[in-house]
Amino acid sequence: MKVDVLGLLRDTPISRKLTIISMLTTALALVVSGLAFMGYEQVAFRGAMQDRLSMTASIMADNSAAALTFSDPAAARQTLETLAADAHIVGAAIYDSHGNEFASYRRPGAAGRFKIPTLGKDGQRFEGEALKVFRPIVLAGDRAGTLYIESDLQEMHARIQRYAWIMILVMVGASAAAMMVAMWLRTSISGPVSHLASVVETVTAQKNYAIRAVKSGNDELGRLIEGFNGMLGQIQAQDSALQRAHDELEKRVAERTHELQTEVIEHKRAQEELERVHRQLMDASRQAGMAEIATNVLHNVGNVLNSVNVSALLVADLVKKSKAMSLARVVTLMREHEADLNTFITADPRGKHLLTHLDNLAEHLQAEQATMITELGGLRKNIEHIKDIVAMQQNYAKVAGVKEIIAAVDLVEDSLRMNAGALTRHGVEVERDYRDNPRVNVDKHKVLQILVNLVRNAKYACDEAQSIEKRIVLRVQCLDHRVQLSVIDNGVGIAADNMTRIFNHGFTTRASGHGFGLHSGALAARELGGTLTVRSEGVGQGATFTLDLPVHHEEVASV
Amino acid sequence: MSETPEQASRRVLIIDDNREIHEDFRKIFRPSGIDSRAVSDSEAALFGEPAAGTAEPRFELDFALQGAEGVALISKARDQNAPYALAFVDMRMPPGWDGLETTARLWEVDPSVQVVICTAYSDHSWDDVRRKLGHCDRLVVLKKPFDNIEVLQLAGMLTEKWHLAQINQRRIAVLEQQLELRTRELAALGGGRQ
Repeated sequence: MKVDVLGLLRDTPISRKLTIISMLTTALALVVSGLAFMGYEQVAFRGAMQDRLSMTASIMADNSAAALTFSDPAAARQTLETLAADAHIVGAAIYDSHGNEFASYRRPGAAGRFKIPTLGKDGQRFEGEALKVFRPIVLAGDRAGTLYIESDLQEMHARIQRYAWIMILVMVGASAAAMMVAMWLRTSISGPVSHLASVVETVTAQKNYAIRAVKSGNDELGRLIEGFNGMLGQIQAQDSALQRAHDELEKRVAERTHELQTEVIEHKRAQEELERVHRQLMDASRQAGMAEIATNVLHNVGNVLNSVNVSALLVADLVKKSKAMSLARVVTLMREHEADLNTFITADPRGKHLLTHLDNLAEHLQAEQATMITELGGLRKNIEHIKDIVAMQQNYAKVAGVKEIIAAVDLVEDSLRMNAGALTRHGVEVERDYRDNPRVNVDKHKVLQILVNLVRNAKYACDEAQSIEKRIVLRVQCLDHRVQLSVIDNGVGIAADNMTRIFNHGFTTRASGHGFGLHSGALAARELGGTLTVRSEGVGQGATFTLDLPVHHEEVASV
Repeated sequence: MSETPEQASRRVLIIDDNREIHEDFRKIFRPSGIDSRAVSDSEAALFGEPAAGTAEPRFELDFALQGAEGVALISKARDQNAPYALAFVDMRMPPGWDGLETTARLWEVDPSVQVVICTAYSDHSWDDVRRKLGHCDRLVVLKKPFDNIEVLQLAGMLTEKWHLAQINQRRIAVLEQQLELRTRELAALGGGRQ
């Protein structure tokens, strides 16, 4: 039952709950206070009744003492009749000293309800629906008899009934007031609560944490709403922080994705660019190599042409100034003196010089001829030289980019030939150390580009060292299916610091160098499936450059 | 102009890394290498003509393979009071100084030397030359392959120019000396008067 009531209460709205609670409280308070009041009233009233009855009994006892003494029952009765003034006194009796009824009184209309009891003990007592009092009647100190008065409790009951009615009325009024109070309270308590509830519902339904409940006061509800708003605020802050974090994360993911895509594209583009630059570099290096060779060719051809020119002009001059003409004049002179030639030669002052002159002339013409033969020989040699240079250049240009199977030693020899002029001019001694002669399948142009450059570098290294004995060793040897073409010089050598940089683009130790040779050489070596390496003990210790190439596979089979 | 023995011989320095070019110069300055005096003399005697005087200027040639070597020779010649009148300098002389560098250093030693820079092709533009050596009237650029006559003409003219400059310098020196002497005399006279 109790559980049911609580269960019922549990699901009723707070406003109704409040009403019920306030009304119940009011009713309970009223009932409790009413009952207490009535209880108190009853006790108080009984007291009052007893006092009043005791007083009445005292007066009646005094008044009836004489009548009892004189055994005048009528007078006693008359005295008792005065009790009629009190409507609640049901009846009264006077007993003599022996306890026999002396006189009695009955309230009119209540004859049936009052029976004169036998003499009882002195004192007052409530018995049933009556208050009974036995009082001694004393005269001059002696007990003359006993007075009995019985009062009903009608007055008290009526009074209690009145009180009950008042209480009921008060309860109704109080309940009405309580109801109104509850109604009013609803606005101040359940109003905010249901407002809060509706806000909660809205928040839950809409997931909108920006909504706030309106605070109605500073009581617990106000604090609750405040707390709730605070919580909402926190949730909102957390939610928006979470949202921000989420957004940020999404943004970052998107950015990173974009970056990655860009990077991939960039990387691809960079790679393409790298390839393009590499190709350009290759072309540039090839062109630079060719340009250097062309420059050298031009220089060499220019110098040789100079010699050719000098020789040719010299021969022309010799021919022009030749004393051969003098021979013709001598012959003419002899014809003139044909008749007396003998006399002319022996006697004539001029003719005496004829034979001497012929001697001199013959000698001179021989010298002229010898000079011319020498010059023409030099001329032919120089022209051959130019032809060699040109042929080499043509050969070089023709085979570019085409692979061919060629003996390694031939390549080395070609590179030497292309540097021949410079090597002789600078007085560099060349030693050939050909231990093997395998064939290689290579782009001859590339190998020559490398070797010519290596030989030229070796020559410069020797020049810079200013050693008395300039010496270059060219070595060809097989090593494990590979052939090593080495150019070894006894020149300036390479500082340890420069060893790593020597193949770098733009690195050079020469004022007129452009730092392309070894760089493009190393690139070309890689293209050929080989390597270009350097070894040097240090400055002044000479250097060994080695071009390592794969041997032609047929050779490999046969080796 | 009267010829003095000093004028008859001019010192010419060839600086070139190519020995064959040295030989070319030698041939140009001593054309045939054949002594033709005997036959010329006998020819003159036979035909009754006056002997043709060889009035060609004579040059004394020296050779250097590198710029530094050439500058050393010029320095030495100046110290010995037998300076070079003219230098033929090759433009490309690896591994040492090139022609411009050599010329610049050469003039540091002896600024009066006339220079002919020989080049097989255009290593440097004329602007480069001017930038490196400044505006100068002591320099001629000769393109290889050159003509024997060109070389001889250049040698003749430039050595003569050098010679005249030397004479001028000497004359100016003499005049300055005289001027100083006169000034001193005048000063002495003025001082005497006072």
